[in-house]
Amino acid sequence: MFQKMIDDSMKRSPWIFHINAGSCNGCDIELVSVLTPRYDAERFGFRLTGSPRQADIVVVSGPITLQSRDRMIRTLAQVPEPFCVVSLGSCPRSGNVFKGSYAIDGPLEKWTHVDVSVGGCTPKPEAIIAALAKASAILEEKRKAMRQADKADKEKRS
Amino acid sequence: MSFDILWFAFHILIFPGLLFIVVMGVLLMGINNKMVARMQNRVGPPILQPWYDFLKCCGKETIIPRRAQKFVFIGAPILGFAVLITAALFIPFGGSSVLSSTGDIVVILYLLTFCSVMSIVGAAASGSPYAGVGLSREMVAMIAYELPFVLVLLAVGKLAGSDSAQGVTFSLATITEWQTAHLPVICHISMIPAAIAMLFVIPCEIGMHPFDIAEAETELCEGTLTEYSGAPLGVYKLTHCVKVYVMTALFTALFMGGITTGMVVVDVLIKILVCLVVTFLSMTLPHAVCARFKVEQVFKFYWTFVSALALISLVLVWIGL
Amino acid sequence: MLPYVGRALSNLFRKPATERFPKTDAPEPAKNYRGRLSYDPTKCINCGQCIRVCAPQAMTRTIEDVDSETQKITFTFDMTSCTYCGLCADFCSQHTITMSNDYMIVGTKPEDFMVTGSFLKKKPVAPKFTPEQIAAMKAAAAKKKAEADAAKAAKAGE
Repeated sequence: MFQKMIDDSMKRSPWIFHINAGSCNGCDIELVSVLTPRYDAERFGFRLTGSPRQADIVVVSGPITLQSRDRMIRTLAQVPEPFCVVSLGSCPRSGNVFKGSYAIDGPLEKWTHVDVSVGGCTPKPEAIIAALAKASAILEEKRKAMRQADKADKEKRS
Repeated sequence: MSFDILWFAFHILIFPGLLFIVVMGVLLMGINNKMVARMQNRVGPPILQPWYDFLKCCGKETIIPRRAQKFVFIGAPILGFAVLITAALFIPFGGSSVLSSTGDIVVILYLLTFCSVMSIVGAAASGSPYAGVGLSREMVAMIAYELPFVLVLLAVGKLAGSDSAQGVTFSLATITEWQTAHLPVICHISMIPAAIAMLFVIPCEIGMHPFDIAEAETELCEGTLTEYSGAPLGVYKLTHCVKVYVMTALFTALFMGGITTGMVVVDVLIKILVCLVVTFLSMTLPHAVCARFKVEQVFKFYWTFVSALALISLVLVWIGL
Repeated sequence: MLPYVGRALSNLFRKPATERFPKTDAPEPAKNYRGRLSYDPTKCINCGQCIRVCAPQAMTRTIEDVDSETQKITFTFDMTSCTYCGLCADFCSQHTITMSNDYMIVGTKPEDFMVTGSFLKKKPVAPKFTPEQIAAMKAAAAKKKAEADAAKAAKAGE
């Protein structure tokens, strides 16, 4: 029962960590505006954390520039399981207008799994909220899958 | 005999003990968050949000950094939580407290400091430079609020101990008895500055928003909690909630104790109401209205303004007002 | 400080300014909002102007033969590559491409972001010449080339 409660609370308190991988700041501002009184994502338990160790949803914005690529990979490696990656805006998926530039090493799928993507340049806050809600539902499923894998592992050992 | 032990266990684990303390802490924190949100024209998180946060943290992977002292890193949050629960058992809520001694104010002061020290120790064991900056700020905050806190406790002790032979009392039971015999402490004009000073001490002791210089998430990557993840982080968050209960309960015991109607349930309800009012005045309003203070601003504020308020009370009590 | 306190206290008894978005429908965006692109293949004349003006190269056109007379032309617009500048809609002479109001561009797979449309078109008529004509044209071209080479050599000699 305790495990079920944990599964349930997984989607009720997803904490967001934001990585700027060379974004133009448009998506970053829209992400912050999601937490303002008008859109108030905190009513679903979303919180912007300062440390990747406490994050559940990692939001990546910007085309992956060469300078930010290694830092992004290092930051993603520090996030504890289970976690979701959300790509914000057109840039991380394709490079947008920077496509083909010598300074870009995208798309994001090359470096990590991407669970939910939001299109738009920049996306509207409503779209971001919808994407985060989707990501938190995926988070709960991931936790359940993790638990079942653990269970199977234990049975195999015994 | 065995019934006595069972009763004692019930006291420690259920009613004024662990379960009640955690539930009260979570509820007070949740109501505080909700009210802050409403003051900022938002809807706000559900009231049980701190509980969801704790549960979620329990379900996450716990990462122990390579450079961390593993034993201390895991042990510090648990020890801090245990110490805080022990401190809470000394505070009478409704009826009498579970544990009591002649000097329990000193014990509470020591245990509260110990709890803050545990977060410093945990941060130091994590080996992160951000945690290093955070712990140094936490120390500054501790030095800042400790002086007015001790002055307030001294003033209350002096007032309540005026009947006894020693002149000053450090026992919460004596303070409660004195308040039953006379009026509650806050009704004395000389104690009003001390009560205001105590209202300012509470948010800094807990590390609530305008005074959360140690956990500044935007500048310091959560400061002392930078490297914590999973269950230890959840315990830290729960400690944070329980601290809200401990500090507000201490305020009610010090300044509004001794109001008895004879029925425990009614007494507890009155105390919960007082706790809510104290939470509103000391935590919700500053959180909604102020931006985060700088380190030196906190230090200056507590050592001049708040300390002066507490000192005025102490002097007034000493000359017998 | 005091005015803020008064404001905070009065807010406590007022309705929050938050939009209850996921519970209610997504609000309508502003006038002339450029959202998800919509493409009407029945009007398209396959001029390719949109592909020329698109900065992030979000469009792909595939042409496949159905039979000897007709070919199938498919346009694919990648919404995670788009900058939503609206140039394609402006340059489209037949008003085939328009920017719709839909900004909920959220998905988990690449197919969620694709706007596709295809139509059948008659093949352009291949030019037909007799072998004599072709031989004459080849001879003319060779003569022209020889003349040019001679002129170049003369110029180099000077």
